Amino acid sequence: MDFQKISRLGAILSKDYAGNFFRLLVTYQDISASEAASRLNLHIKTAQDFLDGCEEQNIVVKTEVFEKKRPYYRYKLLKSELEIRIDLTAFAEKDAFENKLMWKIREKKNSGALFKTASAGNRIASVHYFTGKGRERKERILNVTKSQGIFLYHLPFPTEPHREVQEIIKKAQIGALYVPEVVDVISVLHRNQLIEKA
Amino acid sequence: MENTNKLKSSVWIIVLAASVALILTIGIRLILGREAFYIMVSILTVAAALIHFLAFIKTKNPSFLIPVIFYGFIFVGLQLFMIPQRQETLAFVIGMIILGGVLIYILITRRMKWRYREVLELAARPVSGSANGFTPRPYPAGEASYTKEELKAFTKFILKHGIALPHSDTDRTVLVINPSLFRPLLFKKKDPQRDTYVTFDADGRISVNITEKDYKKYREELTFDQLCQSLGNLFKDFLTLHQQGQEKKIIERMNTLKFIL
Repeated sequence: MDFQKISRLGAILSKDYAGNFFRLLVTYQDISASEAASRLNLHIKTAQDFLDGCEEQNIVVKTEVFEKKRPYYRYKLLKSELEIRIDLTAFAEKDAFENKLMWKIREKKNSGALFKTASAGNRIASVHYFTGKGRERKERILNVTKSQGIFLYHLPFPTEPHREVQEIIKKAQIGALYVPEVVDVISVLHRNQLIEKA
Repeated sequence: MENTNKLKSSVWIIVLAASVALILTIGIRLILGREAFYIMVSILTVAAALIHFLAFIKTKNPSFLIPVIFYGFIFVGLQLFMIPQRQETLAFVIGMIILGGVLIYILITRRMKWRYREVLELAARPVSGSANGFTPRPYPAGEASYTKEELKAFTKFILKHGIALPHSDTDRTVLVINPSLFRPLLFKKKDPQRDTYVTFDADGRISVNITEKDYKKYREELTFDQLCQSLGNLFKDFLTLHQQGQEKKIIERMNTLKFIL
């Protein structure tokens, strides 16, 4: 189940009337939006949107019905159970991660970034940089973790030779557990043109 | 062959300050009269004596006591001149000559000199490149081997001889390379990280920070990482010499820089 679909399902389930709605769907053979709205004391548009959302998630099936008035839809429950399963490790960009360890980087000359040191002095606490031009120009502050800060402290200066990320990590004596977050901050800095690759 | 200085000259500042002081002094004498002039000079001499006394307390450098006595002498002399019919001119003049001579000797031998410019100049001498690359963050300048006691003794030496102003944090010692001793004495800075400094931490690691303001004092845009490394190496050398009991060589090294104004 892809994450976008799960988050839309989450939005449906989080409605405070969702429980009552499912009670109706389980009790009734099928139900229209106006019937559900009158039962639950909701606006018909609200009921309509909820049912359409359930239909998109394959929780109900929608059938067009023709009666005296203009046609309308009736909704029937398809599933008796809902299961949500998310594999969070899928969010890790494994291939990109390994590539970035081989990047040869250094601080970019005249990037305008300000690397503020922590009170201890042997690591960076935050990076202040600017995005946009003219009136759109905004200051961004990137607060970094301790490991990221130690890594950035060892980042080669603009006039030093480029060095591989994994070499810098080794020099900074950063534990393996913290490498993914270090790689993440490199991505951010590279995207904002604060570091350069060889 | 003597190297040309890598720092820009600051003689013009000294000339300007002296000129302004001279003009003000003459102006006050002419406009406000003799007595007001003596009062003004009295206040200034007391202030100067106090500042030098504070410097002595801070650095434990006995050379600072000479200007204290000198300014004190001027103050006393002025009070005598201000009292009508009371002019111990000869005694005053002899005293001034002797004290003045001692003070000149101390100034020539740089015993009281704040070594800010010498430190920056020595740091720049080994740097060959001018690729700029300034960045306002500290540079990890390597490691050194020292005990806590050795570092403490070293920082006392550094302060006494006007090389840097030490600050102690829980895990490290920060040696701040200030343009002058007197401003930090009078206006205490909370955050030494805004100055040029060299730190020695509890694990033997050394880091260097050079501010943009100090970097711009060089004639060229020296390759920044080389400059930081050189400053770190300079203090590492000073520490080694101190550990070996060769403190005189540290002073000699700075004194080899002539006309560093």
